Amino acid sequence: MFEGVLTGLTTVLQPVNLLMVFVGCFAGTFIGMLPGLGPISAIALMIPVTYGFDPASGLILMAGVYYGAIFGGSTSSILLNAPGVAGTVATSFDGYPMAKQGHAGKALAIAAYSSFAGGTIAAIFLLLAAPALASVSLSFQSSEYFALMVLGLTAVSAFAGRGQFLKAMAMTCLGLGLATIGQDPASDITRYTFGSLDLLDGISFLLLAMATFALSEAMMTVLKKDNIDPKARSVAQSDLGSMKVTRDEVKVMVPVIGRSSILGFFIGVLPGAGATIASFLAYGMERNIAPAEEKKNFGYGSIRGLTAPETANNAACSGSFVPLLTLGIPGFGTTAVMLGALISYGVQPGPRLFVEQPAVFWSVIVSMYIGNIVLLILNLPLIPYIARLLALPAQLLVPLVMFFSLCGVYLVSFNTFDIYMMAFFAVAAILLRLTGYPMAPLILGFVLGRLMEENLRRALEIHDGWSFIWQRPITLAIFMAIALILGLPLLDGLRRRRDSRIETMGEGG
Amino acid sequence: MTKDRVSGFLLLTLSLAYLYQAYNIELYPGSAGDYINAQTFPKAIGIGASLFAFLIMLSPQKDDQGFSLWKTYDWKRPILLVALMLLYGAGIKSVGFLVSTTLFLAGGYVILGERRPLVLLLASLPVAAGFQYVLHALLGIYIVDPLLEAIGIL
Repeated sequence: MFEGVLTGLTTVLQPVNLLMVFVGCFAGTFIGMLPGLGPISAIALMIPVTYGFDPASGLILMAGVYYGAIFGGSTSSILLNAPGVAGTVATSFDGYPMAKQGHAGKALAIAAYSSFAGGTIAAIFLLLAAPALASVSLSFQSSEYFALMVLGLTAVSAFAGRGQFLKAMAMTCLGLGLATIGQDPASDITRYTFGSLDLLDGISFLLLAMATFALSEAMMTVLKKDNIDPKARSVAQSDLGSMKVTRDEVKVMVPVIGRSSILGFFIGVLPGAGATIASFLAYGMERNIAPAEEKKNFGYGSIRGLTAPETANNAACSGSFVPLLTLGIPGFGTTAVMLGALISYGVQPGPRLFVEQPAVFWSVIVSMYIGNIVLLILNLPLIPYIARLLALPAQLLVPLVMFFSLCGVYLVSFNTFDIYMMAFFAVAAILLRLTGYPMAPLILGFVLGRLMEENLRRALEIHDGWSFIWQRPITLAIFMAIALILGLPLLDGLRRRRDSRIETMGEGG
Repeated sequence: MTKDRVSGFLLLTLSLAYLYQAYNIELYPGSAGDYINAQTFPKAIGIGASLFAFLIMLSPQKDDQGFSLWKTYDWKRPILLVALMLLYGAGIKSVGFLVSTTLFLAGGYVILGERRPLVLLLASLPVAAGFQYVLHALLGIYIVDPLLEAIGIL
């Protein structure tokens, strides 16, 4: 492991990679601060930039963007009460009241220290857990991989929120279906191309990610007239106050950081969960265990209430890299985009990555430490200036985001059909978002679609049929977990329907 | 009519069409009886998607308020932005990258309410020119641009 860390350090400390960490953190912070644009858009917008780089540099940049976007989301949650990222919604509960009380600087500092601590502690867990899991998963066969992918897809839907399970599953199927367009990798038979040569290679992952996230998110802000409240904007533009945190405040923060980073990391490792769920759970946990006196402060600028979600969301970001790096299976949308990018670099994440390309594996882990340090020492002092950038009017930002999205895709293929397809998918994504369909399962299904089919094919051929489901204990255990995950929301749905029927009968009587 | 019923119905239609098409995927002779062939995965997806879409249609959420909120949205500007994207796609090869990008950006700013001519010019032409310079001179990526070729710049 020591050797690995050294390899990672040597790679990350190369000037070009250090620059990637800086640029990634800065760009991520800026994009994450923009209301409406989340980390998936931030990463997708960076992918075309990274095409010429070697995979380690590309992944380091994207990890920096990811961290930066979460941190940027926290900043807009605290200063504007407009979380740019779902994972930082819980931050606004106590961060914004603190800013309104004139302690914006302190709130930002607490958020930065908590993020740093959460990210660093979780990166240590990652350092220990990832190689261990990678060596275990070396014994995995296609059947286990297939089962794990099905688990990932169902878990994403199960965690999508109450009443959202069916919609998330439908979106997963849509993503899987889109992945089947083009030539079947095993037989070269064309599927769903309807004679079009433009569809022969299938739909590019970058195109779909840009259209369903960056483009549609930018246009949704126009559609919903998402303008930042002028009062909130004035908080951001005013003096942020002192960034000093007192010793007593640190004493309050330390145990919260300890609990929330452990919780955040393990939630992040779980397929389907992620920064959002981790931050809400950590917030809820702290509120429940807080003394009665402290409990009253939650929602009115509590230090515990700010520290917990900030620590947990960063810890979850690190945790989410465990399944991506060791199994090659992303747990949710953001890591799915990263997987897509890695595949397009020609790198296949998974247990072999640890053996075959240790530089990529370790440099990502080490870059997380460096990224956290960069966020703390560079971004925190720069926040007052980055906040000024929010004053850039939306009428300039939206067309620029659209331009970078369109060009990012066009410059890969030089095919104008891709621009038309992006317009189509952006419109479809907007309509789906407006009807309450989540987009992350779609991108996850799309990225995993081909891998799933390949692994299923291999499993069926090796085992001469579907017997692999019960012949291999690990596969069987995973399928049992899937049945549980699928069954619980369905049972819950049926129970609620029954309850509502009883309620209606009561009203009638 | 609730949003869930309408969207569920549309998804069901799409899923059934996808499933129907899955049965029409050509196969190599003799591969029809294989454990897995080019039709297997699409068929499974089609069945799953149809089932979920059907369930969405059957059980709309209680808080579904239909499409009433849609009337409050600003539809005009996003529609114009989509039209602008399509025009950009049509023009990028024929008119060239520099002009089409400048017009795309300026058009986008105008659609979103910017009217100051100086801002329109400064936020579009230098961005397009700078981007093209970076691509061409620094990254070695050549983009077809008939106008710049005619002038002799490219």
